[in-house]
Amino acid sequence: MNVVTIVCIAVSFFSASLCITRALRGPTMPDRAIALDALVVVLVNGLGIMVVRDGDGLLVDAILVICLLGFVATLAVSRFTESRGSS
Amino acid sequence: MIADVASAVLIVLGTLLTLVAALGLVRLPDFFARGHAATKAATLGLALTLSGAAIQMSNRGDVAKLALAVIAQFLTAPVASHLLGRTAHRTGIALSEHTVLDELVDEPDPTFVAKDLK
Amino acid sequence: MNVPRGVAVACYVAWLAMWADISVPNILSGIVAVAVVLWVSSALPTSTIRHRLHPVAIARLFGHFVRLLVLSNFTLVKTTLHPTPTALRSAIVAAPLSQRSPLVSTIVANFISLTPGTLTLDVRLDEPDEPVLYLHVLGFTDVEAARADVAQVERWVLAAVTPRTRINTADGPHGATVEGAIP
Repeated sequence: MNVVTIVCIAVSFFSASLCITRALRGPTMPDRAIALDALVVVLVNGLGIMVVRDGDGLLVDAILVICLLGFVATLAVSRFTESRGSS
Repeated sequence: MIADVASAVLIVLGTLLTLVAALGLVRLPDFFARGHAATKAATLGLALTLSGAAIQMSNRGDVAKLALAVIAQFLTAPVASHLLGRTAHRTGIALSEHTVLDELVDEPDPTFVAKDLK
Repeated sequence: MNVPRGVAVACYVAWLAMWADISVPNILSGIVAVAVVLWVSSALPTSTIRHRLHPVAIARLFGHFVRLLVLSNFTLVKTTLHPTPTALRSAIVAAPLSQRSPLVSTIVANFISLTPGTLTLDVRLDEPDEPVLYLHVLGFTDVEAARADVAQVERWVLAAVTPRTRINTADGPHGATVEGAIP
């Protein structure tokens, strides 16, 4: 189990770096917005792995809050982009 | 023991799916295809990982919170991609050269007014 | 209150699940929190259409949902690892809906976003001719296949959550008794 969680965390790091690549490179604002939303999902994924690793529910509150706030942030960016144009 | 194996399997599957989502983000050619990857793969990957975590929880309250997070993700991920997709199409994002048909480009939404952010 | 009871109950249950502790302070603060949320959201536009729920059809809808979500991930993995031109052929399709109920359309739009190859882009319920759902299709074969997918999902959802007004569809009116204006 130890090995499995460490490997999964390493894979999550790689996924996060791919998301950040798209966030930096993405030619338009919605590209960046969806990359950051996916980054939040990767982050919550990593937190879920840590919950399995630790065995106690310390991070579960953080998981719930970050999930919801990530969505609200994506909403805000999409409304902002709609007003401003997406270059 | 069974719980550990089940958790491990779910976590591995979930992490692989989020990896596929991230891969799709960098490999797919245009914004809408990336939206497909980010919505579907990320949602199921998260559901699998959090299910694997919920198996390990001994406190029922923690299981309820994780279930709530999964339900929230299922409800909000399509909405986020819908909003971003609508915005992207309205502001004229370039579609990939694989796109063969666009029935929305001829039907501008009469209720949409580009507001000026003052 | 212009929000159906089901929404208020669901919010309350979510509040209790968030605190994960059924104690007297949580029960009371839940009532206050739900009241505040309902009062704030009463400024949003609402619909006067009430719906009837059918538990068996809801369970069937949930089963279809899980099956199609897993299937959509299979196709997505294949497309991401082997991005061939046929797999990347995309299109934006206009699919007609058969009713104007916001709840049913929302469920259909969210469902469609998680089924193989399709992603919801826009839902227009106020079109004078017929309500329409615009979707982006990845792995496009033909327009009629995409429209048939939407129609099938809409049938499943209508079986589970039926609006309680007479709906006019292409094959004649159907629905329960007339209670209120045609939407």
